[in-house]
Amino acid sequence: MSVSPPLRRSPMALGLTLLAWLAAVLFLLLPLASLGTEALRKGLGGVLRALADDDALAAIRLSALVVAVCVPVNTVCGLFAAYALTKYDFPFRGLLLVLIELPLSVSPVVAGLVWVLLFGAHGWFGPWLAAHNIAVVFALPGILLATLFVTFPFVARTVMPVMESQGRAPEEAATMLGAGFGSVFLRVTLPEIRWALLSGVLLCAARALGEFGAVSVVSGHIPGQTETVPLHIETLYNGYDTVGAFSLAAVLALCSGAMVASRTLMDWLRGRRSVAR
Amino acid sequence: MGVDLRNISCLFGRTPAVRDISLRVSNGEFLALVGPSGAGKTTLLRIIAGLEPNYTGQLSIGARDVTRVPARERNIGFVFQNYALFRHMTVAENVAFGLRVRPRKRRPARAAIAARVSELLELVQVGPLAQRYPTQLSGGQRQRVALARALATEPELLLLDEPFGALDPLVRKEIRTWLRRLHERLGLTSILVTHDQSEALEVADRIAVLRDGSLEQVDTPDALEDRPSSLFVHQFLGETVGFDASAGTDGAILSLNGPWNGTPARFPEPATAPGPGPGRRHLSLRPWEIGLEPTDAQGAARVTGMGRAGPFLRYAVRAPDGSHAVEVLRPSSLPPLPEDGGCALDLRLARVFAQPGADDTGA
Ligand SMILES: Nc1ncnc2c1ncn2[C@@H]1O[C@H](COP(=O)(O)OP(=O)(O)OP(=O)(O)O)[C@@H](O)[C@H]1O
Ligand SMILES: [Mg+2]
Repeated sequence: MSVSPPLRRSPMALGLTLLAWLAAVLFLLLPLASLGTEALRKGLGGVLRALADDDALAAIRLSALVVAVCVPVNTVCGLFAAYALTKYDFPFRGLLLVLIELPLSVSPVVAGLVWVLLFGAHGWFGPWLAAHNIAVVFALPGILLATLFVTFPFVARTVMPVMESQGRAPEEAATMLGAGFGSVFLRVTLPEIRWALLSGVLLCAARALGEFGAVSVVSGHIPGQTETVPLHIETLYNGYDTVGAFSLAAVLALCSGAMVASRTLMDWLRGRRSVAR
Repeated sequence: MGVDLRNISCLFGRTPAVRDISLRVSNGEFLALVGPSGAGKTTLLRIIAGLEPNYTGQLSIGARDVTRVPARERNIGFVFQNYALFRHMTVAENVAFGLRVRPRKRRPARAAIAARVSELLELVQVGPLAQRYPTQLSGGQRQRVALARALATEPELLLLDEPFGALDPLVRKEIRTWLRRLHERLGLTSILVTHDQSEALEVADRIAVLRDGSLEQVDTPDALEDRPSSLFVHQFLGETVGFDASAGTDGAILSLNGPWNGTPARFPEPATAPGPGPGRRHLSLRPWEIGLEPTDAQGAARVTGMGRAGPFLRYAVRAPDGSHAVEVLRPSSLPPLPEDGGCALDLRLARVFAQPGADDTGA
C-alpha cells in the first residue's frame, strides 16, 4: 500500500481548514443547534408534551414499524443480490447492476408515484385491489413499498465492493473442504463482509427513518394513521406548531446522528484493529 | 489416489481452454503441470477439483467416476495460488474448518479436532503461530497453513496451483523439497501447476506439458529432456540453441543451412531423426551440449568473446560470415579456446525435429 506524504502546515492550508470548519458550523451545526433551541423554547415540558401527543406517538410507531420491516427485508435481498452479482456470472448481469442503483438516481417523488400508478385507484391494479378490498396506496403497504424501493441499494452497494475484492476464492476453498452452500455462506461469506454489512444496514435504517418524498406521495397524510415521523413534522410545521415540529425533528436528528456516529465508531475501531494486526 | 482423465474438454464461451485431454495419474505419483501462460493449467486443475462444472469428458478418481460429483464430495485437497485463507479465522480455525463443517455423524469430537490441528501445524512447521490471523503471517507461513488446511480432511489427492508463485527463490527451493518429502510421507497423489520448469524437473515424477489447451507431452523429466516430442517442449524446458539443417535420403543430417552453411560440424546418428527421407530439419541443443573443437578448416565458426558462467566458460560463437552468433557453454576444466580462433561444431547431442513450416519432401 502506498504511504501518503505527510500533511503540510502552511498559511494556505490553515486558511482552507478554517473555511471548511466555518462551512461545517454554518451549514450543519447551526441548523442543528437551532433545531434544539426552537424545540426547547417552551422548556423541556413542551418537548415532552409534544412527543406524548397521540398523533406524534402514532407517527413514531409507524416509523419504527417501517424501519423494522424495511431493514431486514432489504438486508436479506441486498445481501443475495450482491452475492449473485459478485460471485456469479449470468446473462444481463450489467442490467441488474443498473437496476440496483436505480433508486439512488431516481427522484423520491417518482419512486412514490410509480406505486400510485400501479396500485392507485386509477392504476393498473387499482380496480382489482378495490374489488378485493385491499388498500395499498394511502395505507401501510404503500408506505412500506415506497420505503423498500428507496432503501434497496444501500446494503447491496456497501457489501458489493468487499465481496468483489475477495472474489470467489474463499467460497471455493470452503467448498473444497467439504462445506455445503449454507455453511459456506454462514461461516465464510457472511463473516468476511460483516463490517460492510453492518455499515450498509445502518445506512439503510437511517434512510428508511428519514425518507420523506416517496412516502409523502403514497401516504395520503392521514394524521395518526399514515403519517411517518418526517411527514408528521411537516404537518405540524404547516399548522404553526413549531415546538411540536422541532421536537420531533430533534428526535429524528438524534436517531440519524446516533446511526452515523456508530458507523464512524465502527470504522474507527476496525481501522485500529487492522493496524494492530 | 489415481486420477483418470478421458477426453476432457472445456469451453469458455467459444474459446476452448482445454482440448480433449486424456491423462492418467497413478496412485502415489507426483505430476507437474507446466505450460506457458494461458495454456489451461489452472482450468484443468479446477476441472479435476470440480470447481469448473462446464466440461465434457470423463473423470475418475481412484475407482470412482466423479464426472458428475460436486466439488465438496470429491475429498480433494486444493491449495490456491493466493492461499485463499479465511481472513476472519485464526490459523488454527482455518485448519480446523474442514473438520468442523462435517455433518455431525462424521464430525470428530472437539478434542480430536484440536489434536489433529496441532499435529498438522507441527507437520507444516508453524505450530507456534496457531492463534495468529492470516494477515500476521509471512508468505511462506501462509503457504504452509494453506497446505495444512488442505490436508486436514485427509484427502488422498492434492492439487496445487502455483503454490510457490509469491515466494522468494530461496524459500521456494526449500519449501518444494519439503513438499516432495511430505508427499511421500503421507502417501499422497499430487498434481502441481507451475510455470517454473526447474521446479517441475526437480520435484515431479512426471511432467505434463500443456500448450493452447492440448497435452503436448507427458513423460519423466529425463525422457522429456532426452526425447522431447516437439521443439516446443525442448524450448519450454530450458535455454536452447538452434540450427537449421538438411537431411539426406537415409535421414542422416548432411549439412547446416543458412549462415552456418559450410561450417564443419558433427551430427547425430540418423536414428534420432524424426523420420526417414530427405528434407529440412531443425537441430536443438542446450548451450552446454555443443562441443567446440579448434580447427583451421575453411568456413569454420569464430570464437568472438568469452566470460565465466559458474562452472562454465561462456563463448560467443559466430557464423563464418559474421551475421549470426550463438552462446555456447563449455566446462572451464577444458583448455580455453583462443580468442578469434576458428572452431568446428560438435552437434551430436542435438534433438532433431522436422523443421517448423517446412514439408519433408522439400529441399
Ligand atoms: N472464467 C473464464 N472465462 C473465460 N475465459 C477464461 C476463464 N478462465 C480462463 N479463461 C481462459 O482460458 C484459457 C486458459 O486459462 P488458464 O487460467 O487455465 O491458464 P493457465 O495455464 O493457468 O495460465 P497462467 O499460467 O497464466 O495461470 C485462457 O485463455 C484464459 O483466458
Ligand atoms: Mg493459472
